[in-house]
Amino acid sequence: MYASMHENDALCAARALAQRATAGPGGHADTSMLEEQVCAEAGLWETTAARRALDQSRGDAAHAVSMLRVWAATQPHVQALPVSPDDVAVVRRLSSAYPRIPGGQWLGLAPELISRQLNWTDDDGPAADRPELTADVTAATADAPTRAATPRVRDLIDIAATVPSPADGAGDDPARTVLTPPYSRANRLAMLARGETGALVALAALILGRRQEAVMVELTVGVAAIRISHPRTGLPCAAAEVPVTEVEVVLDADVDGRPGLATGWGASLGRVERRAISLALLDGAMQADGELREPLTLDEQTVVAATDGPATNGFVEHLRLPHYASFASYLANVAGRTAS
Amino acid sequence: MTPGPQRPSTVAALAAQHGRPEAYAYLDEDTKRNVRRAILKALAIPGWQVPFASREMPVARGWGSGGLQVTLSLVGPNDVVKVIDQGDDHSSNAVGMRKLISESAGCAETTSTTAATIIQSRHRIPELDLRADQLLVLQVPHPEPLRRVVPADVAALVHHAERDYTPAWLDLYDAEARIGGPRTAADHPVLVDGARLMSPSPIPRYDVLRLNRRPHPILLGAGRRARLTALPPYIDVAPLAFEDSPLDPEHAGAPCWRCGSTQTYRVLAERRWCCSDIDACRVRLEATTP
Repeated sequence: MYASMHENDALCAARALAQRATAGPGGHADTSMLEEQVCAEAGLWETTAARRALDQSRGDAAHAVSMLRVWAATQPHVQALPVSPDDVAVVRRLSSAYPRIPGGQWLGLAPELISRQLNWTDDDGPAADRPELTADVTAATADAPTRAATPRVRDLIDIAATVPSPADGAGDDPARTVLTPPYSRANRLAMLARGETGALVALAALILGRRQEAVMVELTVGVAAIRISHPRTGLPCAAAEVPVTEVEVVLDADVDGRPGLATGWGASLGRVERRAISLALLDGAMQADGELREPLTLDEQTVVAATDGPATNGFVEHLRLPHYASFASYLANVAGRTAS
Repeated sequence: MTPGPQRPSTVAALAAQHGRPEAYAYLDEDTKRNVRRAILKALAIPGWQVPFASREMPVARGWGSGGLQVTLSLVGPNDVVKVIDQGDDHSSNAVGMRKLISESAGCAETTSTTAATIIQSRHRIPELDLRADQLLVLQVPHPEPLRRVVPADVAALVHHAERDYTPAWLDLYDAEARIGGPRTAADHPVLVDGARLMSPSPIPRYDVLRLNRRPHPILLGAGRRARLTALPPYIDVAPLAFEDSPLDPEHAGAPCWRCGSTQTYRVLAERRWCCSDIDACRVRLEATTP
């Protein structure tokens, strides 16, 4: 069916057919992560709408993202205030750079611990665990520390020179404005944050394969309270709570001709961590090498490697594993070279 | 051999006869045979990257699937398995793999380096010297040591075949001239038997210098790239370095706060230096404190 086709009986019949096909039983599949991914790619946090879109697109994630964006475009827009670190409750925090970090590491709901072996038994064995798995992330924030009270792991790295990050500032909303190059870092991050997960991971895996050092310094999953100005009083008032995954990575980089580090940052709506890790890797690479000047040859080998989903996902997500020994080695090398 | 009447004819029948829903040591016999063949070939050509039919494993690609396949194709019921991740036995990924190996192979598991018969390690060589009857399996992310200087795999293969490592030497010279030493921190390439360049996996330089003429075999599995490399016992292994500029090991800022060692590889943990190899640290601590 083509959108440009003229309205006729055949089209009506086809539409009815498509609609009947979507009306089938949804089963009991838990699609919460898929919903979060669709929301993140749509740049809109509304999991109920995402579930509805997924149902109506018969599980076609790309189509569901498009439906959400189409719907969001018709909705009134309210400017949100910048999220304050006091309003972010951290429910999961990891560092691959150091075995122990001030403020501690909490596993929280760890996606890497979900078994990769398909269970063929029909009884819901771990039924007791299920509500916890699917529970709303905002429920876990009662005793969670805030982002403001949690020190940044990157501040521990004092031994190595780092590439200065470009000046920050409020970016534009990619959903409301036409962004034109050259993009500021904030705008670049905003656009990439809505990027398609597979594309982000493929590009990040390409970059990762060429780096000498890439370490995930800090990953946090937090729940951010979004505040808007009250329409009458103008006072900030909380309007929504949104789970956000934030990742900071360091990559090897040359700082004034000496080996050093470039910091990359990425954040994505929801808890699909490979998105945030990929975003941070892309940001880090752009800061390390300016505009990613490194030529990328799209030869057979590169194309095949970049499209192997399990390989690129695993490779990007392996940044969550400890890198204590190799990171210490890199820092020792950098320190030696800086001193000499 | 002709199939007799008692011989099961389907995989399901075989599995039913076996009495378990999955194969011994997780991998089916064909995969094990494939991996073992690749190991034998890798041992016969030390330092050479041998392709093998890397399977999807219940750990993500890049999380040790290569090392796991090597271990599972060699483990037997009498083995004692130790798995470490960056020197630590208790990292969740290491614990998961150790459990998978010991449960599927019905073998014992340990955290003690001396008690283990097979040690699977990510990015560290255990600091307690291994014996000839022990086996070290390393998990490898990038088996190709030339990947940064010769990005095309086919071109790299030609360089290996001709033993022409000019790009690697030039890169090393460039770093020497610009920053006074190699850029590589972990994963410094090594020359095996003076002939083949090999990635030792991202072990620190401290460990790279301890690879020479070890009495035990070292098997390196890269699951994502589907390559196996091996170092047979007593093989010469030398880091790629100029004669007048030997490879420097890392220097730590202070002795280990637990065992007081000044000779071991140490990492920072909450601004204190401590041994990266937890088991070796424990052994030293037990030796000094009665």
